[in-house]
Amino acid sequence: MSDSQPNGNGSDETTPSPSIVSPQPVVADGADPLTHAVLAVPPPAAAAGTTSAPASRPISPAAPVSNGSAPAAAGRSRNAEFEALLEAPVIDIAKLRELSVGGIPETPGTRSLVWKLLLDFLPPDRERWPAVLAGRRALYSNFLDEVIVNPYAATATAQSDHPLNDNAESKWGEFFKDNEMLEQIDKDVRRTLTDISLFQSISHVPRPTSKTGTGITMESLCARVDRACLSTTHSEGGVKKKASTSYTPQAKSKPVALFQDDDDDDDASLFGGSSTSTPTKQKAAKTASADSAPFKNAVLAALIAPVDDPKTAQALDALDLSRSSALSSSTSSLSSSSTELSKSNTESDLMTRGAGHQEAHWEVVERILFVFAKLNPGIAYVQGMNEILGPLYYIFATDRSSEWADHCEADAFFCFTTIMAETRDNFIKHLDDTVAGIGGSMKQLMDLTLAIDPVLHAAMVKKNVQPTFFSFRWITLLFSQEFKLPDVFRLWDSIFAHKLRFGFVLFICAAMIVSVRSRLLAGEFADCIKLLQNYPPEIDIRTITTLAERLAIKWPQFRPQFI
Amino acid sequence: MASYNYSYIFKYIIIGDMGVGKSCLLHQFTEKKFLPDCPHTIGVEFGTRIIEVNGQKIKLQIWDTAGQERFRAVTRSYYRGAAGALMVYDVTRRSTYNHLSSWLTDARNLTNPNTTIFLIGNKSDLESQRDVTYEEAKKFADDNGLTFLEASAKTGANVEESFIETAKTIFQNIQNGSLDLNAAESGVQQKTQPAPAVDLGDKPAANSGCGC
Ligand SMILES: Nc1nc2c(ncn2[C@@H]2O[C@H](COP(=O)(O)OP(=O)(O)O)[C@@H](O)[C@H]2O)c(=O)[nH]1
Ligand SMILES: [Mg+2]
Repeated sequence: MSDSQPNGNGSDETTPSPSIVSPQPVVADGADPLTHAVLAVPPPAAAAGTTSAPASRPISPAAPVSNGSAPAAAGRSRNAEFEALLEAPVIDIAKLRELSVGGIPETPGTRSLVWKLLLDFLPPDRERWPAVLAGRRALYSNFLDEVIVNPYAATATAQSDHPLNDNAESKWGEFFKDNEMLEQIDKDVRRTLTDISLFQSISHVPRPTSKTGTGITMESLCARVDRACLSTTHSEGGVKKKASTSYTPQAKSKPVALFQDDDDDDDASLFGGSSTSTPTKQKAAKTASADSAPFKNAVLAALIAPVDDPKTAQALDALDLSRSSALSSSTSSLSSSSTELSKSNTESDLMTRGAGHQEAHWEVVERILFVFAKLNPGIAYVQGMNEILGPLYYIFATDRSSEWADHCEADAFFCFTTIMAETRDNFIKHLDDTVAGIGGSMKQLMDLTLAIDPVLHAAMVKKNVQPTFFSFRWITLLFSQEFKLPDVFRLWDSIFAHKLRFGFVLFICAAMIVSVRSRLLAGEFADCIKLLQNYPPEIDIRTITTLAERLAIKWPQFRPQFI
Repeated sequence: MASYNYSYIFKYIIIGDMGVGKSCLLHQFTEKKFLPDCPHTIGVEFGTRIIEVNGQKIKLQIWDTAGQERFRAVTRSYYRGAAGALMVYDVTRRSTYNHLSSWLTDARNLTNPNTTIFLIGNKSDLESQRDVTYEEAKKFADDNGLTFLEASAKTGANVEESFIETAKTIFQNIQNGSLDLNAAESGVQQKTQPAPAVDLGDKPAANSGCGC
């Protein structure tokens, strides 16, 4: 099916190009002092074959095979195919994509690993994994330090700066703004996938510690929200502002001029200004951004650079040592605990918010979103991001192998960043009415529907069933609120693996519409809207992906590179 | 005659800051249940319920909008053609009250002049955390010509009243001719007969029991 796809412009589709999508750690692969401090990935030799490999084997042949959909025999051979692919010293990503479009096996750990490959977090060359993982995870803890531990210090000593300073440059101003954003994030993460007990349960990974200073445990963000809510009544309009007296931003030794462009809501500069400032998804812009780092802002330069610096390397070393000891002491697997923990048990414990070293998974999700928002002020936080991060985090955190699960925070951060880098236009308000933005996507959807089924299209237009009424959420949240979680995973397999990547979303939307054709023709306006906003669960997800694939082949002019 | 079991459709929008309880109000009104963990609204959500006002069956089509600023551009397109706008703040969070004037500006600019705007101070069950007094909100409502109630999506207090009072006002406006059903964006559709070409008093159903 996929060989009919033209591949003219597709160099970035078949070969993963991590440089486009996520901050590249600048750890030299060869001479990395951290390589052996990372337990997560076995050296390639160990990965090559023995069944007795420790839990770090991403796929264990001995693992119980629970294959959901396909007939057992076909399932087994498919699983074997995956297994063989993933065990190769250099994984054939093109082949992996081809296979994954049809769904990733439910064997433990497989989806977690394949998503990391498809989302360009792991390079195909297994030998490079230890270095890449070490680098990225160290980079993430750098981010934590910069963003959470010591952020507001630059002018803390300046006389002119005080809590009532309304100047946007004021660190206090930034502090208040951050608290508002945190309050939003905090509200939303508590509501992330509430039907899944994982997020309410305690993470077995201890709250990260600060690596600068004395290794104190990192501040709990939700505790900060509480404090901020209690002590300030701050509003954008400045109508009433009581200064916080109970909280003083920590003084910091070295001033860092980070995040100055915080105020410019519409400037997504951190994602590579060249492509976001153009209102259209131009090939040229895409190509241009391919060779510049996505976060080519000074902020990231500042954050990335120190990794090469021997002093930082030492600090990182220390950090990783402390981590690994914690890691080896916690042997119990997370997935079992998450299901066993009863809700009543956890709620009372965890709603006493952010004390000590333990935290709930939703607090981890909160931290990832906050770090992302601070590093990407052009997008910051948009409601719904938690619905994209949620499933991703879930897959990584429930990885059977604790060597992967224990690093789910950093790993999910980078994979989330990849998704956001590729779908960011949906989240940027000023692009709404452009071809690139969500408005353009929704118009595309109606045009495609017209092409596929003029009668249905006419009926929808006549009834005023507009795409904004239903597909806004479909597209921005990548269907995460439309289907049951296992179906969302299955759908994301196809999207992440597809040659069109997020361009495939449009065809899925069209397939969803066409699949309820008769009801759309029969119903009146309100029936149609309710139907599309509460998509009927009886429609099999495989029907939708199969149809979407057929549509993508039949209507190539609606593929993103033609738009 | 069409087989609709209602005579009118009134279109409503619910607006206000995120987290004030818009979706819970909608849910309480349409399902009579409090859904404490409902996911946040992305774009818009939609609910309907048939109510009776002055012997008339009216189908309310309610658009619940996302409150976050990011979505304003999208949600603004729903204002057009709304017969009623429920503007909600949270009595326990003053910032949501402070933002009312900007919501009101949006509502006034983007709906038609006859749109009925109803102010709801939600979460009245949380008396101990109250941050906005009834009196000041009442004054704000009076100053701006809005009807006002404090309500609780949790207990259901005043939820029915808010939606139904709004419908009554709209219905009155139809009756007294100040809301022109023929106007493109009145937010009201009449279902029993084709759109009326002449005055509303002719409708057999339309003037039963309304003496105002
Ligand atoms: N105590 C109380 N909580 C409420 C009430 N209405 C909503 N909530 C809570 O407020 C939060 C936000 O509600 P939601 O309807 O999603 O707000 P929206 O963003 O305006 O749609 C949820 O956690 C609800 O449980 C209420 O009347 N009383
Ligand atoms: Mg809502």
